[in-house]
Amino acid sequence: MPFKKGPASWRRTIDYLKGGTLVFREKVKVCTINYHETLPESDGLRRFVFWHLAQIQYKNPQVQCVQLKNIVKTPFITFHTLEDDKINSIYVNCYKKKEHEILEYCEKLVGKTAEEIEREAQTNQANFGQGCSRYCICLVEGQVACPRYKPLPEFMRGKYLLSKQDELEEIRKTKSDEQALAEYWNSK
Amino acid sequence: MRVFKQIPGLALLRKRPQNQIPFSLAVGQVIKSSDATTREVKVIKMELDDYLKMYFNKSFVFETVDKNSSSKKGDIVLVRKLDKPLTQKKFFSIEKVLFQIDNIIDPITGKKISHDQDEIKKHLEQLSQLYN
Repeated sequence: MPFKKGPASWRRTIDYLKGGTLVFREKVKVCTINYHETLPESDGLRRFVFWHLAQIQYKNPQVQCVQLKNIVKTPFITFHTLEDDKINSIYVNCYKKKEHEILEYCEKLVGKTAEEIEREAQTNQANFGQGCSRYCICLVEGQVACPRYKPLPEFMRGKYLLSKQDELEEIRKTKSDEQALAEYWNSK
Repeated sequence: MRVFKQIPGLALLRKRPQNQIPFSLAVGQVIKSSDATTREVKVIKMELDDYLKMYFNKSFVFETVDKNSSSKKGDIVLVRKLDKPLTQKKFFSIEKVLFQIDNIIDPITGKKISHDQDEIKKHLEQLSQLYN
């Protein structure tokens, strides 16, 4: 944990930032938080901003989170949504509410469920490449074998097409292209 | 090095990319009104510092189109990205005014903000009686 200074410095670790539970749906674009800095009615929202705002912004990098302070006396949160070229705005009243109540209410309104988050986190097993179970598609049955062990017929190779066209013509007098392909697939 | 500055092709290499916000909807504040239909808007975005793992505010200033000329200097405004930009610099247009700087209206209770001490006490006592 670098830089162990300041109040509650474990808020600035990556394990804490990844442990957020609020993931917005695709329609939500803007989230603005209105509160007052000294009045006692907006005490719950102040604690919500202290503990949970960095987690929300880390999980949703495409949403703009803005704080508007000391404008109006009642504390509230707004969500601006874009769906099918229509703009709506949702207001959530936070007068004298505690922070865990605000979090649970917002998850029900606007957040994705835990099952949907798990489904999107799983990777596709049909992928191949670095970091997957198979490094190349030549390992699968029915696909073209690795040309390192079994060279392709001459009319499919760039070496013969670009710079050795004389030898290609000689080969094409004895065999046609289709015969060469059939020999390739039938041989071991 | 003055010889190299006179070559016309080098100006393209020295052009820095425009700082654009990657949002399609945003909330900002009006700074300046130059024409009847153009306004300058300031928008804030939070960016992560890699070492401290903290978010700091970064501001972007750009020009927008205002068709009805309904906003003034100091208003808080909703801004939307256009499909076809009008000029080379105007990619956004003003959709809606959220808070006007002359009369600020509370969107939950529907009342105006007043600065008399008696009215403030009455407003607070009414709200505490409702929720207690």
